Amino acid sequence: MTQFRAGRDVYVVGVGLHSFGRFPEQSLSDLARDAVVDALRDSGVPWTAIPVAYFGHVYYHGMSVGETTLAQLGLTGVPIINVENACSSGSTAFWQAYWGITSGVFDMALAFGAEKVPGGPVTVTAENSPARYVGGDHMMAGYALRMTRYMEETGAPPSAFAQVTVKARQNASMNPYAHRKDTYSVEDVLNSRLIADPLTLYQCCPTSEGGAAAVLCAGDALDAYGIDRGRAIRIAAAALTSGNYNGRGSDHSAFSPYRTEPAALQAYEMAGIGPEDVDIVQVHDAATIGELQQVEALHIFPYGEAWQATVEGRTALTGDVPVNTDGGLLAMGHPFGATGIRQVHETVTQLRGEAGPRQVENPRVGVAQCSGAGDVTTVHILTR
Amino acid sequence: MVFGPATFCQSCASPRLEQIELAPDGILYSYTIVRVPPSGWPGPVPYVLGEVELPEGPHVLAEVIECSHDALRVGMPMTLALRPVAMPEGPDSERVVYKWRPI
Repeated sequence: MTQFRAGRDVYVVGVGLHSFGRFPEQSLSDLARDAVVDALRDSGVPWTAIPVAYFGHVYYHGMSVGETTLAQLGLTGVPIINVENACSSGSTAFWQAYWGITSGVFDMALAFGAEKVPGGPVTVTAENSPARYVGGDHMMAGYALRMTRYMEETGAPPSAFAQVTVKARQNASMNPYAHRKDTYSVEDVLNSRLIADPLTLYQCCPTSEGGAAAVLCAGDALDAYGIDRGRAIRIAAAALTSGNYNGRGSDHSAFSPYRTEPAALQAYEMAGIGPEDVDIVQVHDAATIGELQQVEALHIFPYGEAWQATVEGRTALTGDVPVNTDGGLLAMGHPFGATGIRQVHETVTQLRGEAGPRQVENPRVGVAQCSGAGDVTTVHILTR
Repeated sequence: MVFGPATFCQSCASPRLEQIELAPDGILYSYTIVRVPPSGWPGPVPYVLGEVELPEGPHVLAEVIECSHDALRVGMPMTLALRPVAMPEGPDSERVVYKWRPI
């Protein structure tokens, strides 16, 4: 059942990043502010022209961090909304910015996000939750359970998963913003220490810090703001879904179409395109198995076949559907509030033809997908 | 069917739920050996985490005990094992936790 009705065309007119990595001397606000300044400069729009802002972050750094961050640019009295939606916090902020404009409420919006993720395994429950002592609250253990199952059902060898990291690091070696820029061989990846069998360290995204921002503008307001139409990238679809309960309780199956697929199908319907039209893809590769599962749920490859496509190089920069062209979570890390907007940054940069040495040849349609606890999924489709 | 406490059916939103007893045995649907534990894990490391499929349908995630790592196989039969676990608050804070062990 379609429950959305897009209105005006909306474009991304500016993108910005703070490098991803470890920055002990910088606060969360510093990371966010630098990304916002970068995005505003890219758009050519002054901060005083922005009528609304959405800020994605998860870990607590005091109340109203969106407000205190943007106060550094000047107090303009506009609504600023702090968004927490787990790993999809950044992409949810972007989703809200899109709907705020297409609905006709605002002509322009700022979506930004930042995070300083602490070291060690990421958990999702409160500290006194039974999940902590039953043992199930461990993000990478969850991915490992899915990987065991995927290997059981598809016969995919460990080297196919390692190839996802090898590709991510190759792409990141050409990305000045990446947390991890050194390249690895399949053997390096498989010989790194085990985190949760069969996942090795280099198959898990690093815990990182970073910031990302995007300026969005209504198509009918581009000229009024003097925006260069040649660099504006249209948002063809913006979908956000939460869990669609399957009655099974815990579910770490090889293929979990109920999780990402509903958002993907909604986005394709909204954009009026199909997966066969997609030129580049950014997905939530918190672990190697994640990339394979997400591109399958996006219908880029049939279920159970993404590992083979990866081994054949089809998802590399020179392949027919390059995936995670900036290095993805595996090389950028995963600052929750920033990741979804970082994916938009990369998609926009590729569609503009401004990605330098990692530029894909002439992409016209890009998909960005982000997952989060609560079975949250965002799927955004951008077109040139 | 919903595993665990619930007020509404998560599939159809009905409030008319009744408690049923699930089988104590199932088969190992997937597993992992956790080498780096999350904060709050009160047990030994490494530990085995297993998702067991019950004959009624639900999947239940818990620690797998009394099983050598080499013996782990998808599809192996498992049965419920209730064990006291000391919580971080101290020796008087034990709770009984459900786990799985091979049959």
